[in-house]
Amino acid sequence: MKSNTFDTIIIGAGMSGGWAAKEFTEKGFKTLLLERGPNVEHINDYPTTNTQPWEFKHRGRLTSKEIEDNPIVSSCYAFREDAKHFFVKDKEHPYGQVKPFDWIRGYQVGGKSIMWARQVQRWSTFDFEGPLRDGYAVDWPIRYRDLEEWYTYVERFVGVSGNKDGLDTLPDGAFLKPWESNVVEDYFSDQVKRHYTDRHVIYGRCAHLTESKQIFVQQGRGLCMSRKICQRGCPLGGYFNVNSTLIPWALKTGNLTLKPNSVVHSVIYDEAKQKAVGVRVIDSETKVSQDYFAKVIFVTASTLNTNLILLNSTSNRFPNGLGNDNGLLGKYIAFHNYRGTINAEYDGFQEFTTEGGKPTSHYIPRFRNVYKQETDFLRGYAAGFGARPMRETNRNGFGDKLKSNLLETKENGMWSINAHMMGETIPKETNQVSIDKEKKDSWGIPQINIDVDYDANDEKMINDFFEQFTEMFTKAGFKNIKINDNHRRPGNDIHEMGGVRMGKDPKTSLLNKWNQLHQCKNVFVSDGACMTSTSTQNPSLTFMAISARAANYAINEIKKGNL
Amino acid sequence: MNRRNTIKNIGLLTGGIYLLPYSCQSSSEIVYSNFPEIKTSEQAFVGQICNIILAEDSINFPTPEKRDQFVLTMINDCGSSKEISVLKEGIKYFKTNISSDHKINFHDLIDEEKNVFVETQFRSKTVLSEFLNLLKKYCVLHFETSENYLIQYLNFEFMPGRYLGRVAV
Repeated sequence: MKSNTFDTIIIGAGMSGGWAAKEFTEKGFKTLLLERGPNVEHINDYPTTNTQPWEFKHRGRLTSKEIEDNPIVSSCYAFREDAKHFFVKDKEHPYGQVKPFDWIRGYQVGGKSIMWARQVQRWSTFDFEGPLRDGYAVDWPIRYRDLEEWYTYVERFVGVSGNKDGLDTLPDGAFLKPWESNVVEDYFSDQVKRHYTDRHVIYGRCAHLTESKQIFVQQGRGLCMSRKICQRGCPLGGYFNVNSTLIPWALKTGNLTLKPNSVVHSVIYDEAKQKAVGVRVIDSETKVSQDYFAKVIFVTASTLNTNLILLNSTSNRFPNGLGNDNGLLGKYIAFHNYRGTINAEYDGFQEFTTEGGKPTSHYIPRFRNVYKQETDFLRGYAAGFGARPMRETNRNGFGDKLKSNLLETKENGMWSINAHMMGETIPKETNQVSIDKEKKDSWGIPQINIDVDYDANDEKMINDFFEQFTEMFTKAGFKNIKINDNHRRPGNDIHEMGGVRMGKDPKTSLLNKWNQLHQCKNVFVSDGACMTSTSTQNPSLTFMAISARAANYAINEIKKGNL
Repeated sequence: MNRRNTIKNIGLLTGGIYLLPYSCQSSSEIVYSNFPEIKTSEQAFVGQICNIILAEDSINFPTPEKRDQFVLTMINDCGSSKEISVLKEGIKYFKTNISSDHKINFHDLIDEEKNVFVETQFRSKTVLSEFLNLLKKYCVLHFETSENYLIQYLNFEFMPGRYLGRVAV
């Protein structure tokens, strides 16, 4: 039993679990980090990282069979020939879709941090106050001021490139220098400033190293070289992923036991002790079951798997899932609405072009319903914005004529403009997950059923995005403006959140302000499952800040003898 | 670095040996799973047509594989069922109908006559035009993703290490 006993067990080696592991091991706690997928060692396990585009057999494309076999994951922009090995294939881990839901997953050490989009915007006070103001979902038990120091703490370790913009809607952080903007991004930013007082076009803050600092040298990371193939894993450590930073950092302490291929069945609750005492694990390869024990357990298995584990952790005390006295576990799932895109062209600045590459785009923080309710829909949306020189290639003809046409390819002086919305969806009880009573996976664990959909609020928000951005683009003199509802299914945003929400009242929430289960204080949930609402920002930075904060609270409580 | 180069060279040599029989047009046969009935001679014929559409230029635009091999691989692996069917129909048409419909034996034509024939058929809106346009699509992709085209004509850099947003043209 002793070899199976640790101070802390963390379930899931993605961003949230990685941060918890770093905090516990740094402070001297023997920590078991469980990951259901295989290990991915930084550099060694990035098989395509230095492959040139002409070296790919299909030049980056998926095969017809891969698309046919994987209708869900192949809908993800990053599931291509170069990075497909980091994604869960549809048939490997089936789940139930009460309504269509694209659950995009990365089961490996590092999780989705290997292939993520690396956008890291802080939440503001307005984001945490949203539910209180309009009464949908419950009030967050924390505010921006509670998380501010943890955002800074995380940013300094991760490395975030950004500008100090001085916006109350998107607080500044501890930034490394930004990449240059291009002339059209600057132009649009100026135009928006001229026409609107409440809208801003800023540099999209991203988790890339643009400056060397001692902390990054200690991590063994180098500067980002703008390769823009981050989804393959970066041998330089130029962007943040768990594999190049948190895992080696925690391993270096000698306090981390990393156990890949470990599928968590459930958290073990001791009725006599009235607390959780361990975790039941199934080896993904041998299918042998093994129990591990610890004082504190962090469930950070990614939003929906965290829900699944807790729902499957039943006992006499908790027949409906661990901590689920109020019956709300698995409910109030929300996500981001990425359905609206808008494209245009601009025929100015023909005397300029760009050179090299940058791994980010521009960002327009939320401007709807920030200070007061002003539209017929709740909450708002942010947007990504980009501009690049257009290229013209004549592919007519054949033989020598075709070849000479291809060789005359050139930039035509026009700029291609694009923006996409990132809308907040409202957490609703009807958007929920549950465990299937009959269907089980290969390890005997019940499958999860996902019942999540858009609603009328989302439709109104999409229309508003189209109207507002058409107006902004028109005022900027952009031409040939085209709007598009891509009808992407929920889940395709890869920002699913909630189900184990934080709140002040145990009757209406699962977790307190320190991410402890109200009803089982030595179990913490600090990944996307803990989110009470989703706001509009890419959520990973907030998951990491919440995890670091929760882990340090747990550490202090253990030291005080409270856990 | 030296060790890496050595390993790379061994890899290239091994790859070269592996490709040797194919490039020498020996009897070794590549079987494509979605059209196994298309034999070596027909594959070579596809290569001939590809060469008319966009000739390989292994000196200025070298690629890891021959053009016809790439085109057939892409149609086999990534092509839709419609594309696979267009390929089969096109090959079949050249084999069986071309003499009666066009009163020619394609194989007997001199290069210039073949070019004229292909040019005419590109615009014909027939099974032949679909076939030729299908091959052209992947020939162009092969050319446009060649190392030299990407670097010299599309300004591709694997590791730029910079972004300049206001470069005078």
